[in-house]
Amino acid sequence: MKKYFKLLISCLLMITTLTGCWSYVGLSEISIVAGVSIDYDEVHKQYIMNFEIIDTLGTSKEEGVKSIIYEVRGDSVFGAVHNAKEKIANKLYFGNCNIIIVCHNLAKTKGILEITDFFMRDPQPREEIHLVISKEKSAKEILIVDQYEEMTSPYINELLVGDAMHEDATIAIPMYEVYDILQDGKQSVVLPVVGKATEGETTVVEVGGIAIFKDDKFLGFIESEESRALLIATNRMKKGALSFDLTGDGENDTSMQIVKSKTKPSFSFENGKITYHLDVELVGTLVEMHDIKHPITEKQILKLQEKMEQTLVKKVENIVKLSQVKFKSDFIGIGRTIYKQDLKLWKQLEPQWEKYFLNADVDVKCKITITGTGLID
Amino acid sequence: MCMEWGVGMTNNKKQMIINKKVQSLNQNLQSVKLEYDLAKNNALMRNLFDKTDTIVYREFENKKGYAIKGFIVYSDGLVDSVIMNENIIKPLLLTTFSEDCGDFMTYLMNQVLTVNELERTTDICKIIDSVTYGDTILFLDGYNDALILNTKSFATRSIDEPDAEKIIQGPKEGFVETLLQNLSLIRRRVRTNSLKMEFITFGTITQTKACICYIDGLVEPSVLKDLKKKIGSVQIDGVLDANYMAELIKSSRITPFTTVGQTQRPDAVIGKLLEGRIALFIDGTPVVLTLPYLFVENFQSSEDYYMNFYYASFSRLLRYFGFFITVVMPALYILVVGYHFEILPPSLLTNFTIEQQSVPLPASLELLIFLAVYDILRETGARMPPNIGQALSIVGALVIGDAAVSAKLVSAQTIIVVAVAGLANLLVPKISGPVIIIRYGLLLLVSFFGLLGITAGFAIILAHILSLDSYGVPYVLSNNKLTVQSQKDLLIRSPWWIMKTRDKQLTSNITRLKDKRSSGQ
Repeated sequence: MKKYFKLLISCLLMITTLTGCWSYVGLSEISIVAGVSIDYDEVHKQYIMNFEIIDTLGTSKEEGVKSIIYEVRGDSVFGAVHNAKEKIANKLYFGNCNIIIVCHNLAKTKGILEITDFFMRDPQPREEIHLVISKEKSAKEILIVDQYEEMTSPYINELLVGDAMHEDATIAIPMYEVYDILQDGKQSVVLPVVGKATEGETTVVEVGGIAIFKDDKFLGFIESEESRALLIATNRMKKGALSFDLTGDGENDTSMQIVKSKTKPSFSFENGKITYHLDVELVGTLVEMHDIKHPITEKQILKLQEKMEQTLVKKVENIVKLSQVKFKSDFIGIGRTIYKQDLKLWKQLEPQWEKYFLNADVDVKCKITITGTGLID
Repeated sequence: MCMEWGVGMTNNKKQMIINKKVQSLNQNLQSVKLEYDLAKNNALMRNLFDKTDTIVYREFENKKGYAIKGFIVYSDGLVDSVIMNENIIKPLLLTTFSEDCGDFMTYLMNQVLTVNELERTTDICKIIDSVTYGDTILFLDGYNDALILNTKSFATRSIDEPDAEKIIQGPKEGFVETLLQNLSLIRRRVRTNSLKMEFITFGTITQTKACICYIDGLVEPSVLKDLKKKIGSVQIDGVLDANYMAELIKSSRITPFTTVGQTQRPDAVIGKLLEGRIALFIDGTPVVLTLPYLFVENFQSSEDYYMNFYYASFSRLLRYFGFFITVVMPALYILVVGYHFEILPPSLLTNFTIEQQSVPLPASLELLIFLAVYDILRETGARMPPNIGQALSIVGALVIGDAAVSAKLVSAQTIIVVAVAGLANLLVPKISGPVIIIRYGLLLLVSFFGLLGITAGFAIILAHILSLDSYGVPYVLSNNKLTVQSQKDLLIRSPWWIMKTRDKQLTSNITRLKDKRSSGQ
């Protein structure tokens, strides 16, 4: 018995003295942050952070969960978070924060590195947190939008996750990947975009489009349609839908729902010129088609597939061209592909990578398989 | 070890004093001898049972032939007056004795008294023992011995289903408080001469009868020897219930875990006997002790063997799960809300936070208080007359459950945790003693030390359980016994055609089923 007792006492002593696992934090001592928006005040050189905090005291069972928005200023991101103590008595808890909305102006002038650094370094926020770029003048506008849902940030997160599952109009990219890409420097970051839309008398948030960066500085937006091509080019397409204008009259007439999508990048280097190859394989079902008379024969499907392939190749080529000509930013990841596949060559090309990238040719091969045509036919 | 030794010392001292007193009392009695003179014997008996008004002395005289004179002594209320009148007094008074009857005592025994059990004795101790157990003693003038006649008859409870171990399917008989009746319930079902029943007596004052019951050939002789040794080393003034003995003859006495089984069901006892275990019956209690008793038996129920094996296995898994839940749930809850709330999904965290910020106490204190409140409720309910039950359920359900939450005295999730832990406890009634200790222990550990506290707590419990044994058999399965046959009745209840052998740890005669069908398959 004495031996047991000694063992027990020594265990407990060790737990208390050698570890930090005894710090009890009651739920009553925290303020749950649902989302953050970050703007920059050019005049005062200050970050303006808005915290959407769950209103635990004002929430009643009947009305659902409400939130309060606090505006805090600080010289740095950490400074602003620190200054929040002046307004919020409880400890800020970032563990459930899903969304950080960053104003595109801030992203253009200051860059996003400071933001990602703080949120990755701090132990509380999750690494899966989503960084989104506001299309509006400020990021706060998004947070205080008077939409149907009581809380904005969780809703934006739902939109993003839902979009990644079904729509693929934008890109849902977790913070740790953004941070990796930024640190790596061989590819440019792209981030999801959130904006406002009017829905009757209320304004709601909407996601769609992609924000293009070079290093950690924002360059510009691309639209939803182009963003799908970007997703295909970077092998991020999951379950989205693709629409095609097969008749060439400027209006989309045929759509497919993607079931499986795979893009295999490769490159060849000849005569000092890079050719970037993309092998796209898509499997999907036909969900919309105005053109062909029913019933569709196998021959027609083959023809359809061919037409779709041609259109898609063009789209993907365009997006690569866009990265070279308009943005001059390698967000497709050509450099990263070379780095991964041929390190020696990459080391050779790296000093003058900008030149090689801008002159690179692109070669897209596409294989579309339609497995079903829906209930008709 | 030191502590146990200390306890043993004080026990030994007390025991020695008691022993001396008892011995001196017995020596006094043994030195007393019956006389040939009837009047002296009568005076002796009256002296022995001085100030004991329930003892009846019936004197008689028969002068039909050769005159005989005597008296009978019995304890009123313990004897059957029909036997007394018809089989003892009537023949004594109506028989005509003559001189050629020879020894009258023998004549009475062999030809007069129509009593099934009788014994001629000169032992005063035996006479006292018999009178107090409902026998009648017959003294005859001119003889220095007496006849003990079996006239036992006392009020007993009828045999009905034990409340603590109710089942839906299967035999519903339960033990009663009478030893012989209990033994008859066993004997009736096990009709073999290898079923052994050895009487012993406990209690220096109460002289309680007890019976060691086992099946010869199945029982492990070392266990039997160990049990007899442990019983022999115990001298207590009185034994009123089986638990007295259970605590005294346990292998490890300090542990909260039971290492001696208790049951009120004859079928359960026979099941254990057939596995090579020993049963200890004690007069005056419906509870029978079985040993060795292993950890798994806490989760086994008689009904497991009477129902479909799929269903029974599911129920048993549920019991294990219930044990885990009831022990760990409060501690885990505090672990999650006090230290690691990152693990909660956002919506749940939000709800918990909303609740917790509206109540005055921190979660761990709140849970501790309400676990205590639950235990108060449970304890009240267990001892209360049934007609107050309604008031209790109102207090329990409405006042504590609903009103306390509405008044923001306690958060709803705390009540839920307490309720789930309490409910799961009812799944494993046999192990509720250790459960309470572990539950509160883990809760305290986690409140102060977080995850490491709970881990350390588990390690200690595990080490403790693994160190236990019941009569030389490891309390939980030892590592070298991991075979299919050793698993058949642990987590699940395998079908009967798979359970072909007995547990090797309990008996060396392991074959229990020979089944041509399943062996052919």
